[in-house]
Amino acid sequence: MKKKVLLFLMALTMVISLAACGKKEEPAAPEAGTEGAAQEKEAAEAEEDTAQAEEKVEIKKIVTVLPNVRGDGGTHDLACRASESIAESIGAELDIVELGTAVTDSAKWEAAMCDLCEAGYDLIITGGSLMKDTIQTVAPMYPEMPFICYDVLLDFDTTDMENVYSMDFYQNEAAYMAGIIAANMTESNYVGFVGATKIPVIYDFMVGFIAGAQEVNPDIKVAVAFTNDFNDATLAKELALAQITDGADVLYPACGNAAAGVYEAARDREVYAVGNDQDVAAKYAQSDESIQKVILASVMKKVDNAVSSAYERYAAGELPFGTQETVGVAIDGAGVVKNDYYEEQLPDEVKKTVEEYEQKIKDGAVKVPTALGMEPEEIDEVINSAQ
Amino acid sequence: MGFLGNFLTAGFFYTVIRVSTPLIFASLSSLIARKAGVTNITIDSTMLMSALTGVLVSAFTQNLFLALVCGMAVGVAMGIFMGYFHILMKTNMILTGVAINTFTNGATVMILYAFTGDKGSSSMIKSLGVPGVELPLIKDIPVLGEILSGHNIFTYVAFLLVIVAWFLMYRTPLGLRIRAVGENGSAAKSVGENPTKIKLIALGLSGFFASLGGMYLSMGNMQVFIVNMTSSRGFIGVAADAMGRGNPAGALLASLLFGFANAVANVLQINSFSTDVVMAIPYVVSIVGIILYSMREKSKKDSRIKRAIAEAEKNAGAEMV
Repeated sequence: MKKKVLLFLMALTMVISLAACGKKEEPAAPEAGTEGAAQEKEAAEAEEDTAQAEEKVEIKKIVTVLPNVRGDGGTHDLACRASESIAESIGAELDIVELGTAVTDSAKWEAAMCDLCEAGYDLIITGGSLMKDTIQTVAPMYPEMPFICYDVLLDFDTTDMENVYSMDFYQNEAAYMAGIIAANMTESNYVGFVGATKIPVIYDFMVGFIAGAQEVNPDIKVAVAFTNDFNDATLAKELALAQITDGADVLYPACGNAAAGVYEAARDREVYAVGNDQDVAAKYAQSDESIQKVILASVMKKVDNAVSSAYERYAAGELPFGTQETVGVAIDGAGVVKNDYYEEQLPDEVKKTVEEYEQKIKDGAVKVPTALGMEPEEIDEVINSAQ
Repeated sequence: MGFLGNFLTAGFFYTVIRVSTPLIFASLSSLIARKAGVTNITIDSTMLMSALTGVLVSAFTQNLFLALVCGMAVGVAMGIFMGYFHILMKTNMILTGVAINTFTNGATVMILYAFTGDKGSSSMIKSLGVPGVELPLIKDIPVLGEILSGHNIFTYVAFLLVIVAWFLMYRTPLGLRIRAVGENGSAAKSVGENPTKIKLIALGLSGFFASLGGMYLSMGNMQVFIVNMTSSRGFIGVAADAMGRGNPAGALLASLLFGFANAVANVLQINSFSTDVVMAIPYVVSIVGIILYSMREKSKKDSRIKRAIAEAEKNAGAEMV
């Protein structure tokens, strides 16, 4: 008896922990309703064909699917916020489905995505590079279901996805701007970069940052360190402190939640940091002003803007489905967050330089190098060029 | 290139002590549980839970003392929770540990989200921290002062607790009981001890030590809780205890060794050594340490046996004559 109670309790703890990973239950496909819905859909399709003039899209139910959980302190949080404001503005129902922590589980995700496609939603918003395969498998199976995808580079050449619009971001351009700011503000001619794991996206941040810093000062030194973990803030702080001890006086993290350690290190040792992934100064302004004061500026992929504007274009019938768009500094899809904190923290001449380089990127006068597609040796070369 | 200069500074040894602090707490936590015959693999999650509790209570009450007490209470509760399953319900230790760890991973996220609306970190709320202190007199000693003074209060508590743990284990009746129960439960029972109760007390103490390690991370070293911020430091603590062979001083030295390896790895990274190699240093050090230790133990044992044989032969020879 005791054993049974115990087994039950253990099962319960495991279920609870799983439940905590995905807050909302995946809505099960309505078994009986599927067929009916499909027929209805066909009927609606026929109707649409006859009355093509009517282009106004009516959205009642939206689902946002994350290959992660909320609280990554970056991309997916912003996408969720954008989805929420869209749903609120048009009075639609919104479900946010979290598929779990950042580990690809294609088999499970594909099934979940199929379920969602059949669950009566009018629009799917999803994204993240881990989602690529899932989207490319599921989207062609449901050609009537519109997908808006963020922060993922899909292969439209080999897969026929007329119902998918996808956008990704030039994170290297955002990091480049961070490099420009850091190099302008450093007094020791030495800045630091703390990355998370060695994956292409993080390398892309690093390469952009180094390029930006070298643009301002070709002889600048950039310390590079990796935590190998997106959550180990303690290690991130140690690495940042080691960089500061070594002489770096402006730091730039690209390590997810662990970045909090880098900001704290900057605060403790009275140096500066450039925020990443979100509006860091605004976030700390409510909870810890001492940290807000050392954040020179924040650079980010403006996923929220991009998702919102994609939706607006979709509502107006102008969204180019079946294509990939990459947004960067040129159309303010990624780059420096400009608000009161930014105005307050940077001297005027640095702000001017920032604008100058934004213009240069827009004009194509500056081409920011990218780590995507680089060989490991080339990446090592970039690191060594700044020692 | 002068990077040796980075190691032979007071600042570097200061870092070693700072990095070692959570490991010292974790190794002491493991030590007490192991003396009672339980390998506590829930130390990491206990640390995580206490780290979260401390941050949340301090943020919502703005009362540091209450936050510390609550954090410790949660730690003790986690230890007894483990004991309830493993000792009273007689479940498998490993399975119980894994279940509790999985549970904590999810529960911390859920609780954090419920209170802050964020699933990643607590940086949206203003939590309190335990300050650092300058040691009077010691801080004026040239190099030593720089290394030893100015640490967080938790760090000094950690070193103090090493002595307390030794005293508890070897100089108090409770320590004797814990060791007796750990060595041989039935023997202890036969002389009228209650092994169940004593094991529960030991696990509660183990949870208490772990809770301090967790709160050091979120309220001492940093003032923010990040999901999974312990990053397996609890397990490293278990390894440090194993290396210290159940001796508080040994656990302390092993923790310092791990801390030293981590600090070396950090400095080497900054000097652009290949990070892949550098990141392995702390783990390689631990494996090498255990190998060296067991080799020494084995040679000791061998020489003991040899001596015994030689003596026996001598005795036998004497008898023959």
